[in-house]
Amino acid sequence: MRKEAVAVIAMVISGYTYAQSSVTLFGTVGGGVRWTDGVQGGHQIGFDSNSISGNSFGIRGVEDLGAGWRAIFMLQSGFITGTGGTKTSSTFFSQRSYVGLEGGFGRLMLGRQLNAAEDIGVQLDPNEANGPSLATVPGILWGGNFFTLDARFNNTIKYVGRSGGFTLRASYSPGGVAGNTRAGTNFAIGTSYQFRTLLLAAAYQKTYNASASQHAETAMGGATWQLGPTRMYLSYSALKVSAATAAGAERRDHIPSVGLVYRVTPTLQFTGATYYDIASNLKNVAGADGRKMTTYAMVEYFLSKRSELYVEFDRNGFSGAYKKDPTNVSALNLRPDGRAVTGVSIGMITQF
Amino acid sequence: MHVRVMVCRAAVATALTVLAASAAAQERQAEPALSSMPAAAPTKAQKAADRQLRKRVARALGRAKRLDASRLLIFVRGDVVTLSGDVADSEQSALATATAQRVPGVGEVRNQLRIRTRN
Repeated sequence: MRKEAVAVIAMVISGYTYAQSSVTLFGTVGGGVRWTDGVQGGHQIGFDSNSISGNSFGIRGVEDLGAGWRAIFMLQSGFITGTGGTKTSSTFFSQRSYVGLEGGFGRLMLGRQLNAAEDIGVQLDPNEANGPSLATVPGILWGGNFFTLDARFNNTIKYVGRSGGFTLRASYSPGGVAGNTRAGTNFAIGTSYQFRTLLLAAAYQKTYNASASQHAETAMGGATWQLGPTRMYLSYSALKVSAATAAGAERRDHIPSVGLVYRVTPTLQFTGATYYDIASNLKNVAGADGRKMTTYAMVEYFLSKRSELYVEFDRNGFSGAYKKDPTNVSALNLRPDGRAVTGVSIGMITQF
Repeated sequence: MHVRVMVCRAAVATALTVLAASAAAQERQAEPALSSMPAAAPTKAQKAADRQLRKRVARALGRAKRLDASRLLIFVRGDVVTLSGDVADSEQSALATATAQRVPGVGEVRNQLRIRTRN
């Protein structure tokens, strides 16, 4: 609060100019208790390292270059509250690490970051796809890098341009492999249009694996809209993964989703969503079809603008060949031939 | 010595002012959205006027350069605009408030925006 008061004074002195040069330290720290059922060995009670938004700290900087130009940077490190360890081993700035330039043309960012399609996926998720694991962020599979399951893209050049309520995003991540211009690359494009409280958004991306023997394509579209004290979310995503061998079949997923954020009172908020993944030819095996339903519900009680208490519920249910999907089995610790993993968390979060 | 005492006093006074200001800000934030609104139910004409102003405010916020308005919740009663929902940082919060304040017909802007760091 005090920091904000100082900021307000600084703003008044500078005559409401926002483009000042500054470096800001920021972060999120949360922790609690989590009960999980359906995992190997039955159910477990463990520490919850913030299932709502994950934890991070970072440094954000802006330098005013004059004439509407700004140099920007962001370094953000994800960590696990319970252990103090980094979220991703050997990637210190796991969440973001980029430098960029902002001006009349828009914004250009260079480094590890969300790509253009993920930006749209985040806008279309009621919880901003902010959770730390697949349990509440099923979109890592089709929004992130399908082959590495990394939620960020390395070596990414991203452009964001705005005009009126219209936003255009485009990004490219070169693979840096000599003699192969496709290996390890990602290309993404996203557009959104904000009309009053209605947001319409669509995106497309194509990712090649490290040897360029396979590629994954994602298309998504959706809308969000304020209705009274609620923001409604509706989206549809499609994933296509080519087969690495001639014998394999193309994997296809169709993923409709609905969700909402309901501000019950200024200090109490409910967030919920359901994603229904209808998959065919899982692991590129013809006829290996299955379904996965991800549901999450969160109640947040705000103690201040920056601190809160939370209760969270999530459930991932599987059917058909999806029960044996190695990605989900390992990420959620699903017990062999299990049908669902359910989690309930309670804890607190503070931000700085 | 005298000067030092004066400087100390000035520093204490400034600190108290800042604290009081932040306490006031906190109170304003904690206040529920509807508490200061007229107790009588709004007439049809008032509701229509609120809707019109809300549309104009939402349009201005949606078009503001550098502002991501996709997670805002906008409420209008009379000439009082309440901004709720999430923004990524304090710069976005200040930008949203200032943009709403500039819309013709807006008297007061209440800032209930929450900073939500994108992790």
